[in-house]
Amino acid sequence: MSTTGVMREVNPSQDKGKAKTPDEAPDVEVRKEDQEMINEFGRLNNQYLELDEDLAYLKEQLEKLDDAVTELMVGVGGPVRLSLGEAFMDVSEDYATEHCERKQEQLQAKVEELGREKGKIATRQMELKKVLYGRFGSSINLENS
Amino acid sequence: MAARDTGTMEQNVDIQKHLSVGKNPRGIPTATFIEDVGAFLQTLGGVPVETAIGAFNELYGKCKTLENSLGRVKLSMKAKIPEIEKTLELVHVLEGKQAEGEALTTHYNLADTIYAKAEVACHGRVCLWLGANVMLEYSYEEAKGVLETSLRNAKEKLKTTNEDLEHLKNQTTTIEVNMARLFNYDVKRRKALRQEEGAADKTGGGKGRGNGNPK
Repeated sequence: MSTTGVMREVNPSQDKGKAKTPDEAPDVEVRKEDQEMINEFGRLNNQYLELDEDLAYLKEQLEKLDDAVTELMVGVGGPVRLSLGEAFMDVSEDYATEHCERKQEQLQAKVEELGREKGKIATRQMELKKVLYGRFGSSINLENS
Repeated sequence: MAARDTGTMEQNVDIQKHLSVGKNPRGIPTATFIEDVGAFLQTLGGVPVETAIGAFNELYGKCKTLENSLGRVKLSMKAKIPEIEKTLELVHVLEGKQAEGEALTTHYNLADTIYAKAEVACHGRVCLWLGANVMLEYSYEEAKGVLETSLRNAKEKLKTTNEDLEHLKNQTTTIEVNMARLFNYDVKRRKALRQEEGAADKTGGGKGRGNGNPK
């Protein structure tokens, strides 16, 4: 608690929460619905950050698969070693290409699904922000930085 | 002295009762939402605001610790699931090769930096490492069964851990807001008191304000 009487959320890396300066004018009381909305906002924020991480990982995997498929295309048709589990399997180029492309489709579908979920969360967060800012004004901070 | 101590202990236990209402299916407490700060302080028995904030702070600390440990469980589940999926995929590949009647040539990790070549005749048996230096041999069907159960359990655990984490997040946010409101209530109360005292002093006439007029 700082000496100016401003209470900020304890976790600095996720600065979402109530920052109320008691000296400022209207003291809007927090109702149960408001608390629920604030809680929802916090939860959604966590989900959003997690989705971001997952998406970054998937995009990395997709890039690797892309490189692999490109390499296979320039191949001369000899046996290729495909990484399955923790070992490498000797397979034909076609098998490897088919395997990689199948994986790419799966990952691409996953990326699109996560993208859609992120969109939904962002929309809901905008709605919540409007209501909460409308109700509490500068007494609340809902930004990420 | 002893009587006073039990008095404080009873007070603490009493406060604890009001800090949470109910629990989630896995026993994580649900923090109380303060409808009205003044009324809440009354239910605590008129304790000073610092005591209430302190009590909430303690609960907050516990929630944060629980959050950390659940976070670790979640990470380990998130790592486990792809591993099981990869193993399952491998068993499918072995099955496929068996159906085609072909042998499999593989390069496996013999030691940290050495890979060795092996010819795998897919004859329907596979060994699964179950952990704790235990490895069991299964048929492909049984192996798939074991892995699929493992995968289902891991996904279920991840789901409940996520639910717990969401619940915890709600509680920590509620507690933070509670603490902020208690603090602000107290600041307002002190300000009002000061203003009252200031007004009383003015109307009470000019008594020596003690500005240190040396004689």
